[in-house]
Amino acid sequence: METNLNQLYDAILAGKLEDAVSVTNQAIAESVAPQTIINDYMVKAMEEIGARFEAGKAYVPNLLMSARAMKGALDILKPLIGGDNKVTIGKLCIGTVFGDLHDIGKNLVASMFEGCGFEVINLGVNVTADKFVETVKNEKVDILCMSALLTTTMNYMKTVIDALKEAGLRDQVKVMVGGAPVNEKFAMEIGADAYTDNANAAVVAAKKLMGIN
Amino acid sequence: MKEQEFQPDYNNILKVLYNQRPDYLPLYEHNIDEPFIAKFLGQDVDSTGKTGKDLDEHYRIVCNFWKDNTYDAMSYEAKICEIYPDHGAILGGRLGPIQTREDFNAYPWDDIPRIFKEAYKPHLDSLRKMMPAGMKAYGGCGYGIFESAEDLVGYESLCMMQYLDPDLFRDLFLKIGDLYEVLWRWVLDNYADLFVFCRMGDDLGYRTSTMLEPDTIRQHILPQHKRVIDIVHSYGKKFLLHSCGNIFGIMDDILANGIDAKHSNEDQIAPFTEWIEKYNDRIGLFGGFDMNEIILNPYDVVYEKVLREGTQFRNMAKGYGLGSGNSIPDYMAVEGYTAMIDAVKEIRRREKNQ
Repeated sequence: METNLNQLYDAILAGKLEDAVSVTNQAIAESVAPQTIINDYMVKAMEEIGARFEAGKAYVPNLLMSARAMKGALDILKPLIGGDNKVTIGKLCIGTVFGDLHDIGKNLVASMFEGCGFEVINLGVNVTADKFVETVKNEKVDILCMSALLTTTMNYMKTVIDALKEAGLRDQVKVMVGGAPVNEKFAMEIGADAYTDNANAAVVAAKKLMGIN
Repeated sequence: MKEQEFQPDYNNILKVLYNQRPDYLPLYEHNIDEPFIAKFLGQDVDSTGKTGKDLDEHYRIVCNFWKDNTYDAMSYEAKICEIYPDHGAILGGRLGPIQTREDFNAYPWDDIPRIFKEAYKPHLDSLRKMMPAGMKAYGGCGYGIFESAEDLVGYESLCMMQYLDPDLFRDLFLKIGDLYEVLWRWVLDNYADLFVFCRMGDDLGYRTSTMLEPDTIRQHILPQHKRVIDIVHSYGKKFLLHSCGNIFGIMDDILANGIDAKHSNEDQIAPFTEWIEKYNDRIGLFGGFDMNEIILNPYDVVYEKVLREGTQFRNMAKGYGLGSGNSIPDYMAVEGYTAMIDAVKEIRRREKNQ
């Protein structure tokens, strides 16, 4: 019987890992193209859960469960994708800035990025400007994302942007910022490219920065 | 003319808990970090490792800091999470000690009351001894039901545990509730006289929503809150809930639990006037001033804002105590904090002269 890939969409939306893996395996057995499975069902499910989250109709646990299901299915598909076909839609690094040890929000955003098709380098917490610059330089990331929870540490975001300029890398990478004390005005003042206040908005903004509809 | 020395009166701030207008505008903070007090006073303030007379001297300094800054009462919490074996997941970056049913069964729950008493009895005794006349503490046991679960499991694991092992998730909150009952009863059996009212802090939200689904909070967390609230009330004390974040979606349920007052507000979530308009007919309110405003702005800006808006909040609300929307952390600017205190003194002076 032909696999109903809508079941994969439903499984990821409902955060059911086992179901997502099962349907994905069936689809592979039936030679459905991995890119079709990813782009037409998996990413769309993550977009839907993200939209529900932003609308206040889904919550952090729902996002985490969906991202877990997405990752489980993606892990099966990754080895099957070769040649010019890319399994990711972009590469980014993300970290909580130096002096700040908070990572719950940052990790949630990282999970959503992964779930929605980005390759994510999670640099953790207390990340120095040197580390961000080194990562941009060596990993050729498209976007650098910074998080801060404290009013005092958010100013370090400007230090990182200045360090990127000094290293001659500012034009090669987009910069996104977020975190409880951060707002749009602050983001523009320090020269960031985008500010978002939730995980789904971060994915939407990242895609926009990369010219993806 | 020399400023008259402030005489604290805990009955003044207590009126907020009865949702009555206090005689003069009371000051309130959820917490003032010891390093901030040290920065403010220009001297070492650290209770770590202190016992006996050294601990008494520590609390003399801390109590006088609150009194000198014209508070009627001061915050003190015996912080439950800090004595949990292998704690720390609440800060993120690591898993807590309970991930499975086996971990839950093996966790030394029965040792915690003993550890708690050994850790906090000297502090509570010392605080009682050094408390200035007219002042009391507010607080009791520190950290809330949800925060305990976060610390023992880790936030992300906890989010998934409710789906992957719902029985464990349920049992965890029941167990934490049982533990809280024992610890709160011990504090109130032995130190009820020290506290003017009781408070539990449990951050249930973040900027845009609640940390867990509202129904999950209703089913597993708020019933445990209710146990604490009922215990506090049974000792004849009023109850204040401190809870950060956007919790409007569960506020009706929180009110139905029987809280007497609420603290914590952030401008990015809602202006404080919204809290007054929505809830001040039913409960007292504390706070009003977003921490960021006090930290980032110079003295004059903070002073003018607190003078103007503090007067407005005082006039709008019945029970209201002024302070930051959260707490005074070590990185708080001394000038911003001082401006807030000075503005409150001016509001009181103007009212007195009317």
